[in-house]
Amino acid sequence: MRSFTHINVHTIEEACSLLDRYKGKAVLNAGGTDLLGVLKDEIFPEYPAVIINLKTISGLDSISENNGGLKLGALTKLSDIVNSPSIKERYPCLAEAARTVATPQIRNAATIGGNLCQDVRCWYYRYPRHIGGPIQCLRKGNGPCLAVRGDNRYHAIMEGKKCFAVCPSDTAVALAALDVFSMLRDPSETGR
Amino acid sequence: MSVDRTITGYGRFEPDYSLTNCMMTFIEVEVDTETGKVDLVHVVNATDAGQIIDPPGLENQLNGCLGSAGIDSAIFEETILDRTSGHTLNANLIDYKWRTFAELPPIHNVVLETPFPSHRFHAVGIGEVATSPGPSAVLMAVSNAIGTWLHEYPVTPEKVLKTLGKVPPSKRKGGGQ
Repeated sequence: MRSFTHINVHTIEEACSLLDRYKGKAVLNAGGTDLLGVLKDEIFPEYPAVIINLKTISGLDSISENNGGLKLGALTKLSDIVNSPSIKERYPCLAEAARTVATPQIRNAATIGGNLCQDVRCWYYRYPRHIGGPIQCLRKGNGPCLAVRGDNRYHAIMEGKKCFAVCPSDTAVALAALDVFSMLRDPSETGR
Repeated sequence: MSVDRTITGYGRFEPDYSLTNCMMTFIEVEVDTETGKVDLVHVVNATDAGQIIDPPGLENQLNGCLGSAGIDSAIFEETILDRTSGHTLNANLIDYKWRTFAELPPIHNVVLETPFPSHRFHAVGIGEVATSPGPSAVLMAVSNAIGTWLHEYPVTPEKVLKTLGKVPPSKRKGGGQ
């Protein structure tokens, strides 16, 4: 791993303005359970110069009532979702899906937002540098998709267009089944 | 400087390769003929150790029959090679399928103690041999379950379904199965 600048932000606006300022050289980090794996395997040609830590933003990690439903902050830890009595009672499929993610140690650090945003698990895409990679592919914008003619036993069988890697998130399936809405902040719109 | 009170001794370990050890493994599996999934239900190991010297150590070795080219190599453990580029695709513990603690089957070990007419302890070693009969036993058990012989492992769902005739054999070169 190479060195980077680590910045703690305290509001979403601060994170958005930093992303704008560093223009592609900064990445966001919450639990870090996926990002650090990607960085250590060095699968991209460019390494981020800055990592923006979102864990120091308060108020985004709670489960609260909202018009008869539940509102989950993006920084809610997976272990909190697994153990939450209100989710287990009203939306048990989400609690069960969160419980199948990784291991207990990872669930203590990982966030629901990060679980949804995690990078794909195509073994060509993720081929690490230290064993002769990285492998350039269509998703990285450089070359053809190797899974098309290669070993694609875990890739999509329907609706793949250019990239055939599936979304690896277990909670995404439960959330999609529950018809969940998510609220996103676009960093280029500083007013929102 | 104090007085140096040490004693130095010399010894030599000479393993005795004239003795053989043996291992039997009985396996019960459940095969889902719709999805092709093979579940390990029960494992019984049987051997003769001559004279048991270290009971917990012996039991640990026999419980290790699952890994390291043992039973699980026939069920899901496989290093997958990309045939066009030569890359090992699952050189990590996420993509290489291995057994977790949540999936351990009941393992019963039967150990006889027939004294071997050999050297002082009348014992033979049991260790790596615990894994040897595993893969063959799995192939026999799965073949017995589905009624046709399987000759390749790991018995992934694709292989089981192909043997059952539910999936056509792949004709592609250069990747997949």
